[in-house]
Amino acid sequence: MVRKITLHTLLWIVALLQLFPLIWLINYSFLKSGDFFGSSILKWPEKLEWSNYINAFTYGSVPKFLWNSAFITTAAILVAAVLSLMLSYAFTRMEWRLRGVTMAFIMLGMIVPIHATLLPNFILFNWLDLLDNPLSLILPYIAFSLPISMLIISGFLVTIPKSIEESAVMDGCSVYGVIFRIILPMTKPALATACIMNFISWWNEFIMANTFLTSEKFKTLPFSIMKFAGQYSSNYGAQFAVMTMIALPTVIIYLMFTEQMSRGITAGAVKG
Amino acid sequence: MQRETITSAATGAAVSHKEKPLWKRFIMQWQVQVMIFPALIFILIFNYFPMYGVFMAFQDYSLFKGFFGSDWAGMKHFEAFFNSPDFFRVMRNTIVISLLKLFIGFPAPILLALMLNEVRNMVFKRVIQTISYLPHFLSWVIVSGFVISLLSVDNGSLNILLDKLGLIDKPVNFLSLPEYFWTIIVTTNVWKEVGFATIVYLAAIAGVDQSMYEAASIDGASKLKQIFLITLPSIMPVIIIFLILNIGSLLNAGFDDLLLLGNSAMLRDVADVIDTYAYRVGIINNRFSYAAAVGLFKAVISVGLLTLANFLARRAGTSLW
Repeated sequence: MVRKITLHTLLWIVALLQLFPLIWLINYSFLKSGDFFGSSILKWPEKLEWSNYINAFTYGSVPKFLWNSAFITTAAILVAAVLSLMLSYAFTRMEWRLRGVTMAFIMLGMIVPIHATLLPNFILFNWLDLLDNPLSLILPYIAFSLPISMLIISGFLVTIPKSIEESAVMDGCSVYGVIFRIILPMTKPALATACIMNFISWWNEFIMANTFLTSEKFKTLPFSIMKFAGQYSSNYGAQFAVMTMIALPTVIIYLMFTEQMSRGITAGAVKG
Repeated sequence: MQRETITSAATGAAVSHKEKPLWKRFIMQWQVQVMIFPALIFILIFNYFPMYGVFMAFQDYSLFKGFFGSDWAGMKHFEAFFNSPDFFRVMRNTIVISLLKLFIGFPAPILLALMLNEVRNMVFKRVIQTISYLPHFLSWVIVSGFVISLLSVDNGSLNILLDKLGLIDKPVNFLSLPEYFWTIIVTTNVWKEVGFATIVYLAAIAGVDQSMYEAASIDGASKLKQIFLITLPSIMPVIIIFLILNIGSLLNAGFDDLLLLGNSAMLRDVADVIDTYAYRVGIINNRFSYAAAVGLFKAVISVGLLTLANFLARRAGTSLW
């Protein structure tokens, strides 16, 4: 009994430590700027100060960054989903020469660290005149999404029986008919896992965005904090409001799909 | 066999396609090629093509002359790096930060997984797991943002807390004092990744044969003994594989976290690691070739370390390849 209580207390402390900065972040995003200076760690405001969020939206061109982030992330996720679905189908359902080599080639792409590609890709985009263009983020995001998405989707695809596709082909369905009308609905759980993981990495991605985008026109949301920290450094409330807005979508999506995601990750990990 | 007939029937490719020249067959199969080639081209261009960057290390690369127009410079940039006053500092920081992350960040999730495994109440376990995974999904930009605020002088919570406990007289500016930086970086990293890293260990623990525990408890083994004699040995292969991967990436001391938290010039002495150093001199100061040489030096050592780690693991009975 004593053992159980100690264990539970320890775990509660861990959980509290993990959660505290987030509570603190949300708490501070509702404080008036004057309320920050005091001597307590958490300060529950008498009334919620929504004006921080309004300020964040009006001063820091946050709506523009929000739109850029949403557009770039969505475009990358959708293209990556379609491409990796087709790839997985070709790898798990078809037999062709060089299949093993091609698969290894794509999987090994995962090892390449992102920051090692920054400089050469910077030169490449400079040459293609794509610097400061949303494409300079969307294209590498797609490339870096493919190996892991393919791993998740094809891992799921091998568990689905082939008989449905076979009968569809008998009825005269084309390959793309099979992929998009039969495989797509059946692999929805795996596709969703891959999309969520990609969403979280690219929504939070910062280094590429900071390197390839030189003007403010296409900057994404993580950049807005840097801008706030510099330009509006005294406006703490708005700064915390922006941070909360960046964190919120990932946290909500994570909480909605925890079960599915940890299953997808362990499936890949245990097999690997 | 069956699969082949399905694909050829679906693409409309004739069975006699073997006699036609390769490119004609290729075009006839365009529907199937479209499934592979776009993805292949993406990975080729953005993951593999940048590898040509290693050759820039032997050039005096200039943006205007391009890769083929730039002059070759031999080992000049490597020598410059080895002889520069930055070399010792950058290497020391890389190794120290990485080892600290390994010694503290590696056992932490194993410990947490063992603790979580002892919890019998499933709802409680789920709640703790969900909360502890959460920080992994936050951007480093946000994490560094609130770490900076938590540690700030004016109204940082840590200063307030220490002041209330009577441990300090006046607020400490934690993020501008070099002696605190390594602690801050390692703590932040453990905080962010500990929960998420338990996923793999929990999965491994779940795979342990339950009858062993039954036998052990009949023989009178205590819970602690069961952990040391059954659970840990059973998940040892997983632990070793992750340890090898960690040792192989010893020179990856971190990137986003160091760049964002160690940004101030006062911290450069303790915060500069190989990767952030290469990034700064390369992209910000435009010394492309020098940065490429630094990166290549790191890659060569990393491959060596990975081979060494795998050799050690093979002697211990498990290996990566």
